[in-house]
Amino acid sequence: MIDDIREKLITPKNQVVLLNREGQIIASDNHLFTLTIGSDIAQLDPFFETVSALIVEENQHIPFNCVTIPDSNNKLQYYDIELHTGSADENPFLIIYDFTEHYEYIQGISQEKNELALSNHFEAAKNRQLVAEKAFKNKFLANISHDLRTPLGAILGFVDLLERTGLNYEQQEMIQTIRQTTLHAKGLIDDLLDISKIEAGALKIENKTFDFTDLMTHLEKIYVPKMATKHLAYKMEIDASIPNYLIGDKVRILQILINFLDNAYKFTHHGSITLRIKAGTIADKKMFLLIEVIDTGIGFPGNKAGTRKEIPIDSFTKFHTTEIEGHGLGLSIVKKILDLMHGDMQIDSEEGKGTTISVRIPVTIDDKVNTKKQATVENTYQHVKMSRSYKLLVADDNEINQLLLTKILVKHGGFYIDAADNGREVLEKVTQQDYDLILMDIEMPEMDGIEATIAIKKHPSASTRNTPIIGLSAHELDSNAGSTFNNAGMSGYVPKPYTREQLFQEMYRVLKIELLPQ
Amino acid sequence: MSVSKKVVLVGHYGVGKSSLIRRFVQNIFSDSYQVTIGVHILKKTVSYKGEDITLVLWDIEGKENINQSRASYLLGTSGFIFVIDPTRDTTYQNLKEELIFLEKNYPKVPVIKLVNKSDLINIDEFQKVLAIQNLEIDFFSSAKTGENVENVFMQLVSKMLGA
Repeated sequence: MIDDIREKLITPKNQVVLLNREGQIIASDNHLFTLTIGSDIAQLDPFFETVSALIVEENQHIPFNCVTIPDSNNKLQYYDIELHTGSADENPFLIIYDFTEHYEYIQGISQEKNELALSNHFEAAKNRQLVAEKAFKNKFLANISHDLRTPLGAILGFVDLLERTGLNYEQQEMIQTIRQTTLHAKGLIDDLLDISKIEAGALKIENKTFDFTDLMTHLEKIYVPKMATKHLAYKMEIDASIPNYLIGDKVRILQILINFLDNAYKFTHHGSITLRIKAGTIADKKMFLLIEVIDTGIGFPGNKAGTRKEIPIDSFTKFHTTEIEGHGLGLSIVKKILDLMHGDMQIDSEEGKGTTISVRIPVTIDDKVNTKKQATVENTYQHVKMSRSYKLLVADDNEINQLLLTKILVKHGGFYIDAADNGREVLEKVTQQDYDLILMDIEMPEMDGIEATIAIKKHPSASTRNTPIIGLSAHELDSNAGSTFNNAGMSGYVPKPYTREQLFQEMYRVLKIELLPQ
Repeated sequence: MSVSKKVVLVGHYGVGKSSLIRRFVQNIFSDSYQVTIGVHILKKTVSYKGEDITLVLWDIEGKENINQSRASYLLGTSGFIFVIDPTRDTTYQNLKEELIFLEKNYPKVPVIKLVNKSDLINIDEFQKVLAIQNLEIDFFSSAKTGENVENVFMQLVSKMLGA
């Protein structure tokens, strides 16, 4: 029985071939290959050509694993082959083991493994390329925004100056239109910047104390007159229990509310718009602002009367983009900002009846400041006490910006102004004379504002070294711009485009000019 | 009787060693990737300066390091062709070390350094990549188009015969 099994299943799986030193076959059991006595082993397969060359050396035992030899149907078979070269008085011989089944299994596994590795490699390469393209796009957006912001800033600045030159009613109207159009363009650029920041992971949510009442007053000032232009009733239902001082990102919260209120304004042609804000449950000084913007507008098509229901945000954004005037970035940005804040939103709508957007924004209550608040007396400052004139150096390579800044300063009065086109010129001028303040643009040819500031702070003359510098920059992508300028040695920073008020506020602070109550 | 020379193609898996041999011996190419396990041997007789030379071409399974290859596969080799894939930097990142290994263990055995799949790249751009890494290559070839394949083997024959 055992012999039968061996004969049928094991013996046929191997073959012994006796050779002479010339590689000719002396004997073979022919279990696997039918070999002719006297023929050259090299005729069986090219593999054995190499074997013939190796059998000249005696007493060698060389194993060759997994040698592929095609069968008569050209199907690959896999063998382990042992070469024994024998001693001087022995013949060399080969033992051939047929491991086709085993190696076919291994081949299948290797095929799968290598294909997966190759696919992973190319997938990773593709991802790297996508990341690089995305980084390029974000850099491009940041640069183009800088280029766009600079002339917009100049337009807004000149509009501001022009408004104060005694225009007639018609001219005032036209100036207002120019201002609104420019602000609209600025809004679009800001949205583009936000998108590029979000995609670059550069958008950081600030957590700073802010005055919630101020925020509401600001919204009231914007939307009461705006809603009146469409004869819409505007209601603000603000929960009185919301603490006045909260920690969160005021700018982003304002951006979210403005986005929703603007949406409601566009969608609503009669009726009312309500901004309702309630305080959520307070736990460990943390709470949600529960915000609702409710309009009586056109609603979302498809949700017939009486079927008010939640709308997927993506569908709403798509509808908003295609059907309603607008660029469609707003809601997408808001959604992403809310995600970063760990807040959420929901849209419920009914065609012809209106839409309610509900948002939850997490904030922290600032107890310390809230206590102080009671003792703080708010003043409106209007006058400044200029005890003397100040000598300023304005550094900007853009002639229009230089002109605008000079005009703003001249109109204010109390400043002697000198100008430089780049950082190198600034260095020359500060060496020749002392200034009370340098207003330094950051992006300038030859030597930029940061390099010039670093050089001034190392200047041998103490009076030059100590000249305060305010940086002016339109670059927005870097959220740490302020600290970069601070590290270079600047005393202040005003982002472009700036208003007169923003510029002077920073100048007064740096020059320690006293503000007098109204 | 012709002179027989054992040639071994080495390099990572998937660089196209089997495809190069099939293009050279049978003048065929397939886009489908078939993993080689162990070793598969083909031969081709070429004429060099009026003499017939039989090239016994060992197509061994791709490894990330040559020293992972079975020693018996490399025994008695007359010439190596080191194949890299320009679309996968891992196939040439350790080229220098691999060449040192061959030089040390198989002294005086000529090695041809070959960039396969040249049809997939801009050769000028890839030359810059190689220059940055201080790597020297003998040939750019493509088993797919047949570009330079014959030249590679004939150049190796020339080197093996010491011409």
